[in-house]
Amino acid sequence: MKSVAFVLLAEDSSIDLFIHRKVIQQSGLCNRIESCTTGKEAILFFQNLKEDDLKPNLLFLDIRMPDMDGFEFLEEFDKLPPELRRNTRVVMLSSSIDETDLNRARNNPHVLAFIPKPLTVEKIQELFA
Amino acid sequence: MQSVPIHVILSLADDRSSEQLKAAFIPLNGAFELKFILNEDQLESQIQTGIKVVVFASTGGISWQECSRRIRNHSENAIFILISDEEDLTTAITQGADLLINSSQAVDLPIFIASLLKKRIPAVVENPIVEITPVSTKAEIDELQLKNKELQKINFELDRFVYSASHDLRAPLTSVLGLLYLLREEAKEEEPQRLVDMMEESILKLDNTIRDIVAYSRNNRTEVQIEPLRLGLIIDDLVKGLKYLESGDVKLSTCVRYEDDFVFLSDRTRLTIILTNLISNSIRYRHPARTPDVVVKVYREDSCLVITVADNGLGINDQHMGKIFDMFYRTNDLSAGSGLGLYIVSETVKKLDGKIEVKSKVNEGSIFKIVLPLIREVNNNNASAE
Repeated sequence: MKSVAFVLLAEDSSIDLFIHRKVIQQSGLCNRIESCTTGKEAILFFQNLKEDDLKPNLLFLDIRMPDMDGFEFLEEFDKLPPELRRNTRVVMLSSSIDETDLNRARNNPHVLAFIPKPLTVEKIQELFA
Repeated sequence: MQSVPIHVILSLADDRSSEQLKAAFIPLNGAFELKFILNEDQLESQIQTGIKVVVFASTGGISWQECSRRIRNHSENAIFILISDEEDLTTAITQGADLLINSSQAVDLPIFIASLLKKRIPAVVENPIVEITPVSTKAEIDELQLKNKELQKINFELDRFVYSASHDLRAPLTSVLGLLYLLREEAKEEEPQRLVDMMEESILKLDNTIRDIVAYSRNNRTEVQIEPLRLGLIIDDLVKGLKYLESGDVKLSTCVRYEDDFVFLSDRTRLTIILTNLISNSIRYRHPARTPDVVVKVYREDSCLVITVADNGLGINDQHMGKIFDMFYRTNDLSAGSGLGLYIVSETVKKLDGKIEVKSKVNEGSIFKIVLPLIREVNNNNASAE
């Protein structure tokens, strides 16, 4: 199984954050996990990155969050200076089964994959299959 | 039955296709006395004789608007039916036609004519050929357009509702599925109690959303029912349903206080929905540093019934103030709810012809004030005499 250095989670539900952390730990995907609870917080996270800071390799992004949802986040993410965002691929992680959401996610250049919740070790393995 | 002469204007430009068009009207000959108008001279002489019903199917020459004007100058009540595949209904009706039909509907002309005649000059046709629902007039078109707009709005809201509701119903379910997955994968290492607690929390959230949806729909569907009410009885009842919010020092019987000194008239179901939502918000978003204190009051003010729910909770940030009553709006801090509660409160207040306002200070508390039209005041003595 492929592994990465650093995963960032953007997720407003504390229960889901707990699940994501557990499952990611079990999968051995990475050893550093950090989390934000809204889209705005996630944007701030990237804006505050210093040149030498380790950039997240993967961002697991929820769609429905208060303040700034996943898609609004992606618009803002796109406006960030490239050096802050170019190491990060986005994995959308949502309980949405709406076709429009799926297509919007698929058509976004930053999005690597769309994973329907709940996250499982198998679904993480499929990311790199 | 007396046959009404129908004037059919086929072509005022000597269109070669007029013979074909004429043939299309022949089947109607049994129901009506058809008089074909093919040129300007025939038009003028028939106008002088008087025209009751005219079917305009010409594609060239004089415009139908001009034709309608000339006929009506002479016979004010003439019924003008336009057969066209190009005009739109609104234009046709506003510019002088009583009815627009397209060429494929021409076979139904007897039905349309009978219905129009029945409305315009009831004496002429005592036994209309076919009983049908009336065809559209200007006023009816206006009403239809209004209804159409309403329906579009409702459809749009329904779409949004289904999208948001399906998400809010699935989100807690996927959480439970995730927890079950973890429980199965590593039951030995993990403390199962914690996972079970979280599952319960998710399921309660799901249940809450479903309750909200039911309350929303009930408010939309049912008529307002007025009865004499006492605040205390309503609150005692609804507090039983909110038991799940209790924990540690939070006992609803002591946290929720009310002033209950008069009987008033209102809708019990709707008032229960409003108060349940406001009180549960007050408890759910309590300040962590103090015991929640919710005070519910009802009183008369001018010619209104005022109900207030005041708490000492977290308060609402100014940036959210304008949006808290929006459907599925959740503030950052209040994300535990379905985002429906206050929307339902405001819709329910609307249904009672009332108004709701809120004042709040972060870290101090909020007060919701509902002003309802006073239906009739019943004082204590009257109520106990019932």
